[in-house]
Amino acid sequence: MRILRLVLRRLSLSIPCLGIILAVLFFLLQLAPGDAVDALIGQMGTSDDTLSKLLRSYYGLDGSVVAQFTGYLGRLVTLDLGLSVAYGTPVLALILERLPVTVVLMVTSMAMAFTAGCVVGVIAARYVHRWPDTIISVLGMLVYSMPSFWFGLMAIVLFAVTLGWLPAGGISDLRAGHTGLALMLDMAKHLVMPALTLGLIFFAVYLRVMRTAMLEVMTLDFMRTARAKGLQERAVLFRHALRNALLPMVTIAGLQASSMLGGAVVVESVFSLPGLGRLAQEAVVQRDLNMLLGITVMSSVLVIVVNLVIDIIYAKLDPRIDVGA
Amino acid sequence: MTDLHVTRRAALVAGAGLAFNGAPLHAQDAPRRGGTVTVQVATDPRFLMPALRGNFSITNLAAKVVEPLVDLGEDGQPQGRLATSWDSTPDGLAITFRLRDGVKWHDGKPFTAADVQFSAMEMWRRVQNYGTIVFRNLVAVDTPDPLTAIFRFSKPMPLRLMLHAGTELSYVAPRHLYEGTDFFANPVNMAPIGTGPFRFVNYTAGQHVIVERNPDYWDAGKPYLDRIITRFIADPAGAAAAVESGAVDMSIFSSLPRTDLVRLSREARFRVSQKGNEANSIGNTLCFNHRKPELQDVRVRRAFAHAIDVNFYVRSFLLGLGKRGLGLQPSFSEFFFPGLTDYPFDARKAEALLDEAGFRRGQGGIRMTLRMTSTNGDDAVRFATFVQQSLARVGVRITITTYDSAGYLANVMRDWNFDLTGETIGFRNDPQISTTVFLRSGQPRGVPWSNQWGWESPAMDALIDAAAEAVDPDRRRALYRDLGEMVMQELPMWLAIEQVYTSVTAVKLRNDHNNPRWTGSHWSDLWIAA
Amino acid sequence: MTALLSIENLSIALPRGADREHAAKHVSFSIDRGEVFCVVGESGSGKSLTAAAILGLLPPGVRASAGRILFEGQDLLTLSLPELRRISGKRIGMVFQDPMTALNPLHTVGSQVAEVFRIHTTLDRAEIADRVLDLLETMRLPEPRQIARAYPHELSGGQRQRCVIAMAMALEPALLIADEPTTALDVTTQAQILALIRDLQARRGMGVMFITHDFGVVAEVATRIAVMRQGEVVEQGDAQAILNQPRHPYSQALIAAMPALRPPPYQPSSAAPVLRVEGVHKTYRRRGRTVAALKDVSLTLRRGTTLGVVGESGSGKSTLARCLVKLVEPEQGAIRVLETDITRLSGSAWRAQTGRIQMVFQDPFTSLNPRRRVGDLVTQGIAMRGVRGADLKERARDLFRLVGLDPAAIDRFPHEFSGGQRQRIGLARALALEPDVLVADEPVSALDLSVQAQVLDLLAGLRRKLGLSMVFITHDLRVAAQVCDRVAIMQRGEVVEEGPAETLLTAPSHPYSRELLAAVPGRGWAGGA
Repeated sequence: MRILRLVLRRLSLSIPCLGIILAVLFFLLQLAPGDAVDALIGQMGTSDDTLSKLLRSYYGLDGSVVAQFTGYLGRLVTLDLGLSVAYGTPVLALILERLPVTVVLMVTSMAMAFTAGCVVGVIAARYVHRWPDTIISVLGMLVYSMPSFWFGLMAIVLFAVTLGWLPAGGISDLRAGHTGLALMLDMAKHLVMPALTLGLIFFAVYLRVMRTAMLEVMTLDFMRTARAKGLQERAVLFRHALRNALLPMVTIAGLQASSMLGGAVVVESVFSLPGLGRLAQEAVVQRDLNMLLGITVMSSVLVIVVNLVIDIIYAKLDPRIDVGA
Repeated sequence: MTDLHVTRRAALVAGAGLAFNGAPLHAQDAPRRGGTVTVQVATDPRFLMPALRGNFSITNLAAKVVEPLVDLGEDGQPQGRLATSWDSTPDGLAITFRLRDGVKWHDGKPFTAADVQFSAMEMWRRVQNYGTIVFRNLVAVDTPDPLTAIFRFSKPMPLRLMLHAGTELSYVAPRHLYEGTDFFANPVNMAPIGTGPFRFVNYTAGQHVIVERNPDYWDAGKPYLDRIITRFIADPAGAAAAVESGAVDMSIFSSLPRTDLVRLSREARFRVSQKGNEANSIGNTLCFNHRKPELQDVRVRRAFAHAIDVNFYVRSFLLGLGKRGLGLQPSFSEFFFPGLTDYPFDARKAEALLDEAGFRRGQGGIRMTLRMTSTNGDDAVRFATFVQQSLARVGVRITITTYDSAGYLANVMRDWNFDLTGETIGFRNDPQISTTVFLRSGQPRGVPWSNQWGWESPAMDALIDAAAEAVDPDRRRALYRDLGEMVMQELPMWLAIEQVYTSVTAVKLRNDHNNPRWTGSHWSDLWIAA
Repeated sequence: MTALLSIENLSIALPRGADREHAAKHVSFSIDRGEVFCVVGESGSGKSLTAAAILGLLPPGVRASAGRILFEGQDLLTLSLPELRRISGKRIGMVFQDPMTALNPLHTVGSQVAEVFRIHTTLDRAEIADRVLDLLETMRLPEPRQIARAYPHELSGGQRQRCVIAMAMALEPALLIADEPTTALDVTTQAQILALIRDLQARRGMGVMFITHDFGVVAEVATRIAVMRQGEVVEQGDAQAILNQPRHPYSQALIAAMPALRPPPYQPSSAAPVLRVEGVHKTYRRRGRTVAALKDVSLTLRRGTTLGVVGESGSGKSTLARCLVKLVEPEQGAIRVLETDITRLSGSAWRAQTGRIQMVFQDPFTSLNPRRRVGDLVTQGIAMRGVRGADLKERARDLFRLVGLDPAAIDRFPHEFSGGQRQRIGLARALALEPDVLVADEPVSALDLSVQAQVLDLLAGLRRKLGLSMVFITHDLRVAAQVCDRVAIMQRGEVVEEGPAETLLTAPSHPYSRELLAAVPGRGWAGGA
């Protein structure tokens, strides 16, 4: 009941928010010079006057801006995201084709970053100001300050080109033509480096948050109570400190979910993965308004869902959260 | 400083060598059947029907499935594909093609002259980019029998133009699948059905195209390969990794960083070569907005050409993968004419010309300030920056504005919002296809890659029109020579650099890059050595 | 028979860079079974660290550098941490000051109590559950089943402290260490907890080490006492002896600083009322529940007098203070300063009048902007009235003199001052605008006893000198007895009784007033002035 209330409240806030984002994006894109047909012609390499006109009317780009927007919203209500100008196919189909890769990439890298950040953060906090902590902090800073694509490229050079352990890019080995379980394994293999690369940046953030959170929790009175009870140090750490320190971690994870989509663009292009991030990037260059709006809708939904999950986890973790307020 | 010099020199040596040492080896041993070739390209054209859209990134993918009437042979001369022979009436008003017998569409329907007629009249002439220019004067295609197509023109059509344009534009679409449909909404565009050596299997947007052997191909015994997978990898570094790790067998259209091209050319595993790309080359031009008073003086335009050290740019920034341009066509074209008037690098002469034109150095040594508009591609930005720095030395201040492709077209071609632009011109085998349209006046406003520069010269227009209808090959050549000289004299635009795409190919491949537009041809004879 | 716990010559070293070398120096005392041994001292006396040293709970960097801690004949300082933890919770229980933070907020109290059994016994789950319920019942918690399932935030402070004590007592330890166990609690709750500890101690015959700063509490529970100052035991001995005839000057001073519960004789005032609170109502709505913070509160403050508002947490006294300075708007009623009803003033009209009623806050550490010089802080209000430059500095120096601070210190920053000094700065700031009414919200409750006495002296002096009219909010009846002419006692948003301090603190008529008075620790002890 508590959770259901939370879900409903979140959704009621998200929908108007989504509307505003769409409107801003729609009119902002009108300010960019050139439209989808310009972009299309740019790729075709040549065109003439009548052909441009023909294409504009075919893709419905000849109406007024307001009419285009209201038309879009009207279709959106029926879950019709329209036709992609650049691909000539329904936006929804394209997005659904790309979504799984991005979701898997985000979820695995987030899970890896979160888990690794927790473990290493705890170690750093446990040995605060001693050499393990120093090494971890320096490494964390290093990772944090490096651009993510650089790690991706270095990983490719090392693991794909030099050692040949992992594929350099793509989502599956098309030559092998795997199916079923073999295909799943092959895809997993292709996702190892991208997920690590994407996870690495966020790992540095989680690590720092976890270390700080642990240090803070360790000064709290109930830790002393736990020790006074006779709990051994390890149990104090795991039973009492960890769960409390996870609270800020979960909050950060919620915030990171949206920025992860941005990081995914870079990683997807370095590893040539067919994900949503790259599709969005192409949509901007192609002035593919329908596609861009569709991706916005979809990624907003994604972020809303992730945050919802985070909120539920948070509410489960912390009994003090009153979700109805 | 010295170190840098040494490095550049080393790169230069490597770069210069690359065009020669990497020539494909044509093994004498017998072709082997079977296997899959994986190819990397940077961009997904998102369209796979070359009869409707003429573009080498489309033909690269689709020419394996859909065939043209003619292609180029190993000797660079037209070679029949769906056509077996051709001839033209002396007045150039009718060109007859005899078609190949026993050819079937991939869906089993027979291929006939009706398909040619439909493609030419409804597609090439009406909606195909380039086709709308080349086939402007096409009035009818007669089909006296199923294997004969007679193209009738209202003005003379040079046979050479027809054949060379045909290699890019004469792809034949299945009439039975297009007739009566909305062409651009037709699903066949994304899942082409043709007569070619390979059948379309799968296109996944932004990822890959897969084609497989057509067992009923008219050229019995071919193709040799089972499958061709073309992967879209836009990131140059990612593409280089794919090549190096062996995930792809070939990278075409210069999709790797130049430094990687130079590096890979030293490895025995790869052939790095420009061969097989000559017919699809590009040129970096400097285009002027002739509405701008400063640029109306030909001395200013000549001064600019003198001020820019193209050879240095090619050596240092293109790592030798390019050449100084001259006239209108690249040097391997039969319409290239050495000995035209040129403007070799000479900064002092440039300054003298500018002085003479009345643009003396003013405050801060600046003669004039101009805006250069550029696309945001690495090559275009690099060229614009070089122009900026070169002209700064002779007292011309340039401010650079960059746009992505759509923004660039809107600003330059539609709004004429530029003074200079580093336009890229794509060569298409014949000056009439894509070059003269840069110079002929009377182009509607907003049509990209046409004369949007405000250039008007009745003498040049007359020459262009005469050449377009010149049926006699020698006269045609002479006219284009005159046009080239006039362009170099007047400099309405300046072809500064010609560039040929570079391919990286695994050495195990055979019969690759064996014609001047190989990347966009059929590949039915490509095979993999054991 | 040997002592249960014997601390011999214990020294605790502080990390380098601390304000002194040792938190405790050569501390020796012993505690027997069946006695309550009180360690008394002000903040910084080293009493809490001494207690922490027993179970190896010293903060990082702090260590016992010399001496022995013998518990049941074993030197705890020589044990490894795991060995020590086998004794902690089983043979020695510990209770801490703040029940708000001593419990893990994410676990139910039942599971936290059960954890003690899980660590030290082999009982199964069901047996543990039974024992937990028994224990909670022993702690006189109502509805033990519900309490066990509750999270700490769902319980009151008193209930939480009972749970903490339950954990400490779970395995019937031989020694209970209680570090200021009632300081954070309301006075009536404190009385109950003290009674509980006394009762458990008597029934189980364990030894209790009881750490406190409050001589009232000492008088309630102690059998023997050690008085600590700056890490040293200055005096120890029998409780009655020290309470009634302290020998060491520090003990004498501390006991003298205890405000007496006996107010001075009432002097009725006929001065005109300067503040009238008339029928004020304030209701808070939270999660659909409404809480009446103020219910029909009416009070009168005459010029030159001090009105005490006394109550426990939740009584509405702080809401009242906020209403007086317009931080909170009452729904109903009037608050008249002289003849102006400030509840009806607009924001700008109020700002023009803020000088008429000023406030001193409880926490001297957070109520001063740390980035501004104290002189500026004090004269901020005057500066807004157009006083500038040298005049302003002079006023700041005057105000510092007035509150007994060095006038040369006006250019320093808040962190350079002690708690007592900061409270003086807060007072100077409030007095700068020469207000008609001063509202003091628990101004001395965060201060050590000796500092508290000084600030109360200062207030008394200022009252005489400036003829201050003051509303004094406090939970401490002893403090109220010292400074107030009249006292209003509040309970659940209502004023249950109002009258002269003398009458109210000697013969209260309302049952709640009587309960409150009865709960004052050390009431029976004649200590103090």
